[in-house]
Amino acid sequence: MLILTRRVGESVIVGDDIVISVIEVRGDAVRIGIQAPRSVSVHREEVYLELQRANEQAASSSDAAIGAVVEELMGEDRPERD
Amino acid sequence: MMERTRQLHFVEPLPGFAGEDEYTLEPIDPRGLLFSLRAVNEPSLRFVLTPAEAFFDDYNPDVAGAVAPVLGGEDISLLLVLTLGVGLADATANLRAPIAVSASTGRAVQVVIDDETLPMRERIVRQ
Repeated sequence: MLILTRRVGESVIVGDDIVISVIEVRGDAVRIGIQAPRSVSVHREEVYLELQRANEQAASSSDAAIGAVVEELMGEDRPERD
Repeated sequence: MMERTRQLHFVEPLPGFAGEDEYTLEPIDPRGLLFSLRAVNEPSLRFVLTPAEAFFDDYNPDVAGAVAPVLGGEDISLLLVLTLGVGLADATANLRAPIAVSASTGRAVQVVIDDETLPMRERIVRQ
């Protein structure tokens, strides 16, 4: 981990093509801007970790659960959709 | 548009499942409400998806413009990742991170929408 100090308007560059800029500092909140190529995904850490957990939970749906839901859906009088 | 089985290439792996980027998308029910998304190289890895409009009429996040260049096609559809419990009543959908698919290119990506009001676990049927 690199620890450094930047002022508003200053940036750090990561690798060749990722630029992280400090836009605004107000109290304990910092607005940052991130320029990165399309191939690099950028996420808020806590959202990404929650999404990992949500996906892992979603991937554990059992065949029995799917069968039960399909049965309920087919029993309902829902209109056909295109 | 997705009435048949398709091969999907994820341009980024699904968070939590690094290393898997080839999946098969296949209808589960005849009405096209549920689809299975199964990893080609890890067939025990299976998600259940639903077209975004199937259960959420007013769900229409503005992602097509951002993902079209990434997926290489303009024909973007959104699928929601479902978590199934014991039945329909406790099934939830992830509205925060839909899966965007371009049927013409067969490319897909899970998009995180930057809107904290969108839940990752929303019941698909009103209680």
